[in-house]
Amino acid sequence: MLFSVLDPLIVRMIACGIGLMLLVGAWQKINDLEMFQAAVEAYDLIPLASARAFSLSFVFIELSIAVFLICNIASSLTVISAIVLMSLTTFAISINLIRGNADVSCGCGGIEDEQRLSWGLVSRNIVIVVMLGMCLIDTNSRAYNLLDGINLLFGATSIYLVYLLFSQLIANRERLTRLREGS
Amino acid sequence: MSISVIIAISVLWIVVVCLSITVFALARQIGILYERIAPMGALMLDDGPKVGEQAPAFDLATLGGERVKIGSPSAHGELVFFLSPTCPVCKKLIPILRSMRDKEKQWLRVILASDGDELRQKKFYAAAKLQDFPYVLSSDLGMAFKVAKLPYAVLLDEAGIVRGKGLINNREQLESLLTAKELAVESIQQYLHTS
Repeated sequence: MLFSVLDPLIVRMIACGIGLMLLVGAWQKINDLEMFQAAVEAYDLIPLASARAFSLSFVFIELSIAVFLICNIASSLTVISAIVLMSLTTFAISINLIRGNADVSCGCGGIEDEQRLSWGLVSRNIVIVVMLGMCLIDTNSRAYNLLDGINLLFGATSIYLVYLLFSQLIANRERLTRLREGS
Repeated sequence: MSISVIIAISVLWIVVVCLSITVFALARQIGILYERIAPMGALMLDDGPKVGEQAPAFDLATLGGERVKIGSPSAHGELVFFLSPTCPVCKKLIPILRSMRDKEKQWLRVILASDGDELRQKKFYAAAKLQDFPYVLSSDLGMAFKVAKLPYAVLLDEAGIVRGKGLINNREQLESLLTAKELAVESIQQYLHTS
């Protein structure tokens, strides 16, 4: 009942905002593939020999999902793939945090500051997965007008900016903790 | 739909986006500030050879195929910088190390040190274009200086005596090692504490 009033534009806004986030993340990883591979190796979850192939595949999948989300191609399948990708990443971060291996680069990419693993990242990713889940809800289709186009463009940009802001605040929190501990 | 409504909503959105960018920029500035003020001078750990003590001597092969002596009396001082391919702060400090090496080349030689998988280290060495530094791989070196966290640096004088050491997160902390040597104090933290 709650979601029967969900406008399809909201769903598109979320999909485009998260698509933008994945696109910038993938772009950053492509620019510095060596560092991303080093982060994958530091996670210590896959054999070192397959880290290169895994890194390349991950970036390719991330980039594909980003483009598909923004262009609204195979929407349900794309959203499910994005949920799986984000869940796997969150799971990998959680395992390392439980193992106490937090002092490694998260390998998140993006234009926010580089950061190490933290539960803040896990919480951020869970929020993203929940938002992606909202994109799977059936909505009544309707025709879009010029105002919808403007709302979509700025709404998706705002979602991405809020993501950036939260990521930066998580990075700041970790720095503040280190500052307090004197290291 | 009235054109004035579209203009009004567009203006509102532009304001929202501008505000979001501003808040993000402010958060980033705070992040930079945390890094800049983190702690004054390189943080010394109690482990390893103390400042004023003779450093353990090593004769190691570099990834470039040369040999490098650490801790032995020589014509110049040595800054041994411990890093790792998986450490983002280390990567950020490389240009700073390069500029420090060029500025202090009359008396100082900068040596990069790491350990672990050689193939991975060689890839990092090539990708980060570190051929202009002596780069050694030695677990014993790290253990001798009791390096527990990275990035870490040790400054040795011409006689191989430890003149400064500590965790390094930024340019100020790196430069604090040289300042401590110039002021002939154990560390900048100790200097600030006693003066």
